[in-house]
Amino acid sequence: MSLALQIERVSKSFGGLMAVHDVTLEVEEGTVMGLIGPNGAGKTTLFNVITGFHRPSSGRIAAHGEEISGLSPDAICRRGICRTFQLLEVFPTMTVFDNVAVGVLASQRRTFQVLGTIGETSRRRVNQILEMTRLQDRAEVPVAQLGLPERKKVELAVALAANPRILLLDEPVAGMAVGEKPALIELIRTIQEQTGVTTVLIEHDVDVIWGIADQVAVLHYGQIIAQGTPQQIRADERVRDVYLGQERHA
Amino acid sequence: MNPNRRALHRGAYLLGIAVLVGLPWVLSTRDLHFAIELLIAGLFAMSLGMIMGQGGMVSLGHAAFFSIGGYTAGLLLKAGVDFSLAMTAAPLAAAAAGWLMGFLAVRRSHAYLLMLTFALGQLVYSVFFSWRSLTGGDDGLIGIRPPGWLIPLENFYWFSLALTGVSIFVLFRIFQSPFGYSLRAVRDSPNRAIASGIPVRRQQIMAFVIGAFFAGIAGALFAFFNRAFFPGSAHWLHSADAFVAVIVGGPMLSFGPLVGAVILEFLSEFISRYTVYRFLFLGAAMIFIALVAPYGVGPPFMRLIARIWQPAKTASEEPQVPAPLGRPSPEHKEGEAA
Repeated sequence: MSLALQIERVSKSFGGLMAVHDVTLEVEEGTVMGLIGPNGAGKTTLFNVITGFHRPSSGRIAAHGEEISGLSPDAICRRGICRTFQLLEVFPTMTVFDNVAVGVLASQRRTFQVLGTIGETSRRRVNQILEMTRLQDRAEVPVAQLGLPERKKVELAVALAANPRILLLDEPVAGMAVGEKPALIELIRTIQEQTGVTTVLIEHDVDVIWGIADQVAVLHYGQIIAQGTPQQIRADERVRDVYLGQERHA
Repeated sequence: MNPNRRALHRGAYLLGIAVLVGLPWVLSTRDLHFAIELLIAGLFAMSLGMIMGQGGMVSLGHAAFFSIGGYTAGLLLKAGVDFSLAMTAAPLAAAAAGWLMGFLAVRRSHAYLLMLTFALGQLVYSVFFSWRSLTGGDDGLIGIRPPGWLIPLENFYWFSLALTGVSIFVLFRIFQSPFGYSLRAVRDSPNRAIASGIPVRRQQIMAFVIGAFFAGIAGALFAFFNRAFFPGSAHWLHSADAFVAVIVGGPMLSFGPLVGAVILEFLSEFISRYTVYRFLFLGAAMIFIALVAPYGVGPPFMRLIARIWQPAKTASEEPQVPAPLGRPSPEHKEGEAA
């Protein structure tokens, strides 16, 4: 199986603080990689470095063999690496349809087209994505009127609209009630199976990770301390000590 | 939309156009003057709406584009250049200035962007004010003579109506274009936009270019109308006129700036006919509007129009008017289930 994402000895420091330290990680095409670790471990910083929001202090990142480190976030997205945010980022004054349309137009590189309309082809693509994310009934509702679970789905739909080959999901069920989480996780799993998109997922709820990830990496103080299958990670003594301690007593 | 309603809409548009075209036959000379000023102010506010409303970038330097358009048209015409060439060069010069201001200003946001646009606008003002040999300085650029067919006031009105009408129509089309969608996305969430593959800064610079282009047309019209142009048109207080029009009309609505400009011009004209304390009453009127319609007059106006045109629709089906600059309006609270 080929590699979708290669992170080689990547570090990111902010002044004296080393948020990500010498991280090396490989994600195989079409798989789901879970990224776990305590608060402040550097998970979101690593996402920010991969997607161009932060420049790496050192190291190299490649997607499908092409180096992407140092590129701007929009250029990285146009190379098929798209993300969601821990703190929800959607277009609140626009409708659900328009949110997804923006992603579709960006993927078609039409954002500088000053005359003309969205067009039928793009509308069909938007409707396809709305159907895939089960948002077709909410198409005309302004996003600001939706509840958190649906807004999370909208953000996922906007990311999917960009035709990602690698999808980075930063705590997709954070802030949701326990009863609301399974539906979104199931949706992510279904989309991943349908599209085969390589997915990297940050999540604090380890049950979600055990249920969805093919591989898991554990970050601690900016460093990868373990990587393997969910079973291997659950059995890893160091991971149990620094992160899964509570499971020992569960 | 059913065919009857579509016919009704078309009829209403045609009637509106017919009324506007027919105004010179019913208005006095003074009122026709006012109508032309209204058209120019409307286009100027709409052009700022592209930057401030659609793009979410608060600017106090917009008068610079208006005055660059005005001075370019005036200077070229005085130099003997053909009217159509002068009319074309004015918005192009303003658009070039828009690119430069946008290039410098979009590196910052919010108050810093406001400060940058203010400073750059005042820089342009001081150039026009100080460069007496070219612009006439405080005495103004006088003796701008439009072609003979534009001298009769009614002809100038129709010319202005056609030019502003086409400009506003094009602006509306741009708002509905893929660029318009992307620009609103940038306004709502720059992070989400850039993570979706939108080059945010270039998009914002483009908004400045387009806004400046149409402000340049308004400036050229103003120069031909007054047959003179003064540096005061570049002053930040003139930018503030358009700024207030955008706020009063509702920055998030495509036609909000136009509504705001019409209201302010009417208020200003009406009040000045009865009292010399124009600014006192204008200020009081603005405070009233800000308290009664904090998201601009546009949204309630839009609801009223929707109610008149589509009475059968229920409240939940009415067009949803977003709150300005990403804030939830009272009726659209964050997290509220629909």
